[in-house]
Amino acid sequence: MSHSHAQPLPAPPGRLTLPAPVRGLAALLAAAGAAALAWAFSRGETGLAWSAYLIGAFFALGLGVFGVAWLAILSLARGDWAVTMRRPTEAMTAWLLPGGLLTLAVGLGMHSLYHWSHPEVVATDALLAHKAPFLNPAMFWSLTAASLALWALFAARLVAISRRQDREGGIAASRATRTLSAVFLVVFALTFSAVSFYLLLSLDAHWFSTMFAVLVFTDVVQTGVAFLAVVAGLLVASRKLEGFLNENHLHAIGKMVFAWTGFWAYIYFCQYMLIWYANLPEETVYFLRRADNGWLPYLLVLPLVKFAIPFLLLLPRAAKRNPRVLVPVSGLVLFAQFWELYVMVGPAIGHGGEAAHGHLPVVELAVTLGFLGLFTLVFGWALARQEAVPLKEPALAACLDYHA
Amino acid sequence: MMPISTKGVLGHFCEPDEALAAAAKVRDAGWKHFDFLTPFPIHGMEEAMGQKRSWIPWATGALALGGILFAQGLQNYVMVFDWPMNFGGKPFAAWPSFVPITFEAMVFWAALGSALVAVIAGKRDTVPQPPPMLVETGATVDRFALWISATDPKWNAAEAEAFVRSLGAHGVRLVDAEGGNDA
Repeated sequence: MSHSHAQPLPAPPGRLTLPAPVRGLAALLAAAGAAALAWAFSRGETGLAWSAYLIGAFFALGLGVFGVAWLAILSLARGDWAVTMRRPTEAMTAWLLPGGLLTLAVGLGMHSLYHWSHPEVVATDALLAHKAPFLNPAMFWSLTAASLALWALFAARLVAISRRQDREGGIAASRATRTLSAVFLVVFALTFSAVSFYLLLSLDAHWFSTMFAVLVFTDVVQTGVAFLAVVAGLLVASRKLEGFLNENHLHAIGKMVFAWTGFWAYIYFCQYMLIWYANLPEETVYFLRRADNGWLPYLLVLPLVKFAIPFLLLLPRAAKRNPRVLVPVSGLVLFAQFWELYVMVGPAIGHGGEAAHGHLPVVELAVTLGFLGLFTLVFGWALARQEAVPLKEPALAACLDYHA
Repeated sequence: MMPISTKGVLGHFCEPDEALAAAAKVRDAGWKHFDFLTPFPIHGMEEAMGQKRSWIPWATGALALGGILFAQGLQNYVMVFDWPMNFGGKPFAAWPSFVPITFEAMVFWAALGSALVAVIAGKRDTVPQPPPMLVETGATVDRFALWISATDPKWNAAEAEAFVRSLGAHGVRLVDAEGGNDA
């Protein structure tokens, strides 16, 4: 608003480092996750172990790829309000290289996860044989690896341009970011669909849903903005970015968590209602499997934790501006993402053999928290590598003046 | 003594920042019956003027609930009691098929109703005595006019005029009922 009277910038905050207790907790979670995974493998429960690994790996991968997608979207939409949250967003993308490799390792367990990976099953299954040109191990490895590599490359390039702006300032870097962002979003739409099909949709290889990629995209953005809201809330509460980040910025990111929570419900219900209405056996199998074998309670908890509770808690304006409300509610949204992945993956394990039964996801949660711990360590490392605020970004003044 | 017909004092600023800073000073000086006439909404103005949060969101919430009840009531009455029809073997009270209409009715009631409530409330909730029409035409173009009404509890024409002038406002003048100058 006030372009005419430039205010003096607040004192630069320097670099942000994760507090030692947070780093310790993250390392502890990572170790506990690895132990839980090793325990499941040592008991010979490979289905459980690999499903837990897939849930955790995809949970963290979603946070990483959200970082690049969010940078691109904000650049194209001129989201000036988020300039002082750019460093945390960039730090989230640092996960794409280690996290991409860890996600690719899901392929090592494909025989426990994806029944289309067994040639002898495909030979006797007309539907799987029909889908075999797409659903086969060679395509799984190559398309997934190529997609993950492209994400990491685009992320590295976007961050490199941002670093150049830190040194040189000026508008050229903003322009270069916009061009690259437009290209990336096209690449992202295609590669993200492929990755979500291979890693998650193909768990139910007979089933198909035209809404699946957009549902997983919604999951990833809802979870990503929730993670950013936690970071921004803690930064505001601890006054680490005094003068650069205030309750107006919290209000904006809180509105994002709120909006994507509503959008998730819209997409998930659309998928459910279309399947319910058409009542085709090859589609209803998805929800029948998740209503059977003790899975129904887990399915019914999902709309509560992922929509109803966060929606109602974030509805008041004051809730979005207060870190003491925004941070725990965003934490609940992160937990709900784990829950949704559990309801997606868990019931699909054990095709051909005995179907998996609904159970309290103890190992799955431990492994996911382990991945979150690892992600947090990489995030903290990347965050501490440069100034906490892009001081030479031309839109910084507009961000500091932002009113929600 | 100022003439009895004095309605208030008017002055204007040329920048939104100046208006925002002035608003906080008017609020802190204890004036109650004042308003700003600006060509566009200024972010943070409500806060600077010391206005309370609007009660309109509560009306929006109530209207949203009304829309939900209306849509649920209508669909259940029509589809279950008044004219039950079999669609694809689904139950008459098939709740998933009622959700889209319920959602749309909620949005429709809340959005249109809030706009209506805002128009009515906007008419009611201005200062007790707004400035006469067209008293500061610049306020629709490029000026940010401050109006302090003579109904203010601490009104004193000379003091009010001096105060507005002390804020750095331009074109400060007392205004009578016809919009002309008193002084």
